[in-house]
Amino acid sequence: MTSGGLGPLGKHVAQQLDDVAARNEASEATRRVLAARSAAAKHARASGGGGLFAAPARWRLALLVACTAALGLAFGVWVEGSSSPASPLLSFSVGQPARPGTVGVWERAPADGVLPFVFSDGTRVKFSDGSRGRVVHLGAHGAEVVLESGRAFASVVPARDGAWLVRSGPFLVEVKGTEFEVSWDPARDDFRLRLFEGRVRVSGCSLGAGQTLERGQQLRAACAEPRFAVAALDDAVPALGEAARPLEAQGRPSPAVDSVQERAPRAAPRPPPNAKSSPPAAAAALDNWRELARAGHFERAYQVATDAGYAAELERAGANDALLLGDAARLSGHGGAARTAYQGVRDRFAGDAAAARAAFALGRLTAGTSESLRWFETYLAEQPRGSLAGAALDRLLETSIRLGDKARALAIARRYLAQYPGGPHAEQARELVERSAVDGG
Amino acid sequence: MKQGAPRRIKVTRSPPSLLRLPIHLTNAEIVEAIRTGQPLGGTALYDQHHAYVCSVLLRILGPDADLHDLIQEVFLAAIDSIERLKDPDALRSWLASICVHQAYREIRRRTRSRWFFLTDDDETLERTAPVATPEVDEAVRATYRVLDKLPAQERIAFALRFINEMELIEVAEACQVSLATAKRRLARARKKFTTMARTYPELADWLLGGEA
Repeated sequence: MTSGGLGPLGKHVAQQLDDVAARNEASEATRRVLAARSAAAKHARASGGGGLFAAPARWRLALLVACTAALGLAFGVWVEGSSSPASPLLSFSVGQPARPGTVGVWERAPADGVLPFVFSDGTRVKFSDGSRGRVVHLGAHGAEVVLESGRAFASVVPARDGAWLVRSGPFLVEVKGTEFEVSWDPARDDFRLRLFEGRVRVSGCSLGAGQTLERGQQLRAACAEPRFAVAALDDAVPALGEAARPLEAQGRPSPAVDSVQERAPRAAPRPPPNAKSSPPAAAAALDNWRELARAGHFERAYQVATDAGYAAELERAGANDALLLGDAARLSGHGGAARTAYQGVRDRFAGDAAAARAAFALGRLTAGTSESLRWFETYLAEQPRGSLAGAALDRLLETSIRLGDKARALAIARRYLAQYPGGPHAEQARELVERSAVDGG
Repeated sequence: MKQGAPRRIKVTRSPPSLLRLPIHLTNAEIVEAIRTGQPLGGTALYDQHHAYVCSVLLRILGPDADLHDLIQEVFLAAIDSIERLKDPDALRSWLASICVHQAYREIRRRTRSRWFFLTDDDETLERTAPVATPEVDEAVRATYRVLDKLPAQERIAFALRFINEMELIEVAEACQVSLATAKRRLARARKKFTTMARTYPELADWLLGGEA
């Protein structure tokens, strides 16, 4: 940063974001997608494809005219459902060792093994334990897979234009980018779906126009007697209750579903109850709590760290990682574990800036209590001009007012106004000081 | 970087795990591999420039839960448009301009989304950046809350200049505008940013002269 007071702030922001970037490791799925695109792009370019964004300005008008003229044709092509030369169809391989897959050909997994379908965009579908099905359609941005019976695990690479369908008996699962396990037992009329990542929409039979599932949820449905139920992943497999009412046009869930969802709040999706029983791809995705936490998957991060030994992981972690694990625990509702992590940072890194950040985190963990006041004061004592100082003062003021500690609130209000006369709580602080003056007079 | 005659890269089609690049390629070799339709070109481009693209996007957009998608889109756009790159040595700055383009689209998308759902700016940010990156401190979050209120082009110019520490001419090139236009955008962005930032306690100390 090169300009006045913005300099240190810019450097600070860059440094923190570099830490985030350094932890953003390359993705094997993206690598595969780019390899496929690199192989296909030559043909697309030969057909006149290419990015518009880099076109010189003088060509933009001409391109606009050309594009407008081509719009009708392009729309017609789109309606036809065929792909443009710039968007080659996906391909796929089947089995281990891999052999080229063919659309429409039935495939069956070994009785006690798995049969992988690997698509050129990196998407993987694994049939397991004698499951039978086939790929019935390949598009440029997705495919349609039919699971006739049995169980399949799908890891669909996210893409803006992704259009994946998994047809399982009479049920249809619409997918963009996600990880889920689906099973269909036609003899028992039993459809189940467990969603580990992303969002899917399931339709057919009892689900009518469709039911949207969020990550951390599972669905069970039947067709002959239209019934279905939704629950959190770590709940028991939901029993199918009384017949479900048809979904309304707006897609509002039936009362039966509402009652189940009350036990499975969307805000706190949870991982599968036993990672060891999860499909292999899901387990592979769960091997690094740091990545999961940085990606916002706090519950899964916490579970992975716990499976590996929470205390041992904390002991091995540096200050920043220990704080990160504490945050994952706190944000997934494991307050005790979060406290252990933060307290550990304060013990192990006493005197460091990390210890002060742990104090701030402890204040946040105990928000609204007198203990939180102590932690925010600790932060301010250790880092009076730290980057969280303003926030700590904010929270001190808010908490002391909430706790009715007038003397402390007044002192903090004065301090606050002196340092942040335009801060978010300035008006409240000013009112407090003025009222105190009136009362005193 | 020395750019000799491009080596012919052996194409490996399967299994996918073998696509990981075992050697370092020059920019010229990467460009040549992509132009000749070799899968290795795409993976090499990604392996050797992923960190840079990630860094530029992060600095423009702030901590973002959808970063993986955006990174992938930058590289897909680069592969699709590789014929427009005249000088392989300019690959890095060319990727920066693609980042700017993708970031601009992303900012516009967020803006439309906020308008459509009538959500408050800060509320939207609270749902995305801070939750996904708990290790980022309040000053960084506040910085992007302020930047989120700037027009997209000014925000990008500001981030490239003051956070990514690009020279003025580099900012102009990345934004594909003249130097004069880049200067005007920066001046407007700086004025708006400092005015708004004063209302954020997390930023006040920084603007007064830096953190303790």
